[in-house]
Amino acid sequence: MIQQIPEPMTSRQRVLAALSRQPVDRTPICNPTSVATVELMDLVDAPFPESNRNAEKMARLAATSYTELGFDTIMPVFTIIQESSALGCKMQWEGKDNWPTVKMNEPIWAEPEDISIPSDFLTHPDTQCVLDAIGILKKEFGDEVAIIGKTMGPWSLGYHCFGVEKFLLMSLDDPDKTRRCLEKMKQATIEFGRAQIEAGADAITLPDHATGDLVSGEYYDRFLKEMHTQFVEDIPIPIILHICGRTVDRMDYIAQTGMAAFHYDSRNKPVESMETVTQRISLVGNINNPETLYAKGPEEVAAEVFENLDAGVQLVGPECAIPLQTPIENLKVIPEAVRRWHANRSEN
Amino acid sequence: MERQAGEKATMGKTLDLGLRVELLSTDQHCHDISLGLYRQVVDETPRFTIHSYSRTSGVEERIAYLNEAMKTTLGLEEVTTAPAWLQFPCRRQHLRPLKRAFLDLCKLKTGTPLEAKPLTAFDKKAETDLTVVPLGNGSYRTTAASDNDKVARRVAALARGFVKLCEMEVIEGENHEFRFPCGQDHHALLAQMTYRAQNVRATMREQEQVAARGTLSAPSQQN
Repeated sequence: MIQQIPEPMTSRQRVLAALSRQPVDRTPICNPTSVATVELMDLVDAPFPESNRNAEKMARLAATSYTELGFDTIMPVFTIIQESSALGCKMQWEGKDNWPTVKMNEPIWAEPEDISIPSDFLTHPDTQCVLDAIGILKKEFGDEVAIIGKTMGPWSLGYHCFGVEKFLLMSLDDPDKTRRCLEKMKQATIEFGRAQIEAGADAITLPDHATGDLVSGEYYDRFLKEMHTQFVEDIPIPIILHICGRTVDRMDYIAQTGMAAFHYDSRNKPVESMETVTQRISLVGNINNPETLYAKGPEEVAAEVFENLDAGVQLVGPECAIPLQTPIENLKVIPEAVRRWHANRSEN
Repeated sequence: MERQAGEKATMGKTLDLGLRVELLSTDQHCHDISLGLYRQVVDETPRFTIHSYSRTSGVEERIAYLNEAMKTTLGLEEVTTAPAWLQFPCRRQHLRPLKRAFLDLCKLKTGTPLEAKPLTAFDKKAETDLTVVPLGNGSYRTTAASDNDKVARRVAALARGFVKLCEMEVIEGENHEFRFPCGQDHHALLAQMTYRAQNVRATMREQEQVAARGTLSAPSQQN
C-alpha cells in the first residue's frame, strides 16, 4: 500500500510499516518461513542439520536472506519442529538436503492429561539455539533488517505430538477434548514466542496448520479464531499467521483476529485474497514454490511477484519454506522484480 | 559472526552464472558439497560450467575432474575464450541428456579413469549386446547381435529410450532409427546415456524422487 512515499526506509522499518499497513517507500520482500538452500549452506559453511541445531550456523545461514538474496527480513527458524523436539517428540534430523521431521507415527501424547510442557522447554538445545541465533542476528544487524522468529501454533503441535490422524479424529469425535488439548499446548506457543521477543525478534511467524486440504474454514472459526485473537495480546509483537493450502474460505475469520499479517499460499489468487481480507490484515506471499521457484526461471518468478504487487499485497515473498534445491537466481530476482515494478510505476 | 571490515551487509558473494539447470545436492565424493551445472547463452551459443559455493578443501580438484569427465565422456569441448565453460561442438544445448549425464558423472569418485564408453553395451533383459550404429549427420540405429522376439522388443525399447531421454527425433519409416535435431553426431553422449535409455522407467522414477526431496511438507502431509 503506497500512500505518500516516505523517505528511504531501512529494511526493518519497511517491513514493520507494511505489517501495520502503513506507507512504505517500496514493497518489502519478506520470508516468514525459510529461504535456506543447499548452495547457500555451502556458501556460509552451515549445512542442515547442524544449522538447525547450532545457533552460530543457524544465524549465518539465515543472514544470507539479507546479505545474498536482498530480502528485507532474516528468519533463522528454518524448520517447523524445534519446539516439538523440545517437547520430547522423536525426531528424524535428516541430512543436508532434506527437512527434519517429527516421527508422527510415534506420538508422545494421547489425552489432554498427557500434555506437559517440560520445565526445560526454553533451555532445550533445539529451542535455545533459536533464541541464541536471534540474539546473534540482532547484535549483528541491529535495526537494519527485520528479524523474524517463529513459534508453532497449537494445532500444528497437536499433529506432531498426537499424530495427524489421531488429532483430526479427536477433533471430530470430541471437540471439547480437542479444545482442552489446544488450551494446554498453547502455553508452548506463547512461551517460545515471548522468549524470541526477548531475544530480539521484530515479528513472529505463527504457523498453525489448519490447512485447506484437511480442515474447513468453519473448523478454523470453531477451534482457532478465538485463540489466535488472544495470541495478539499474549505475544505482543506483529504476528504473521501461516497456513498452507487453499484458505480463502477462512481468510475473513483470520482477518478478524487482529494479527498483523497472513502468509498465504499460491493456491489463493492475490486479488481474491486481498478482496477477502479488505485491509484488516496484511498479506505476505505468495510465489509458488514447487512449480515456479524450484522448477521454472526468473521470468516466471517475476511474473508472480508482479501479480502480487498489482493486487496490492503488502509484503512479497515465497508462499512457504522454499525447497532446499531452489536455484539462487530465482530468489535474487524477487527483489529485482519488486524494484522494477516500483520503478515502472513511478515512471508512469 | 563478524563481517569483514568495510564490508556492507548487502555485498553478496553469490555469482551471476546464468541459469542453474541441474543440481547435485550432496556430493558423496567431496564432503557432501552441492554442485550446480549452470548455463549461459553467449552469441546464441549455450555453454555450461560446474560450480560449487563450498570453499572446503578438494572442491577445485573435484570440479576439475568433473569438467574433464564432461569432455571425455560426453564430447563437450572447452570454450576457448572462457576455459571454465564447456560447450557441445554443434553449439546446441542437448539439455535433457546433459543434465542426466552430469548427475551420473558425479557418481564417479575423483581420479576414476575416464574414457568414452563404447556404443555397444550388454542389455540384461535382452541377455545380449545391443549396439547403437552411427548413420552419419546425427542419425543412429539400434541393433542387436542376435535376433528373437525378446531381443527385438529391447532393440525397439532402446531406440525409444534414446528418443525420450536425449530429445531425439524418430526417423519416420525406418526401424529403430532416430537422430539429433542438430544434425551432428554425438557418439560419446549417446554411449554415456545407453544404460539410462535401457532403463527409462527407472530413470524417470529416480528423477521424480530427486525432485521431491528437499521440499517441506505441511505436518498434515508428513508421515
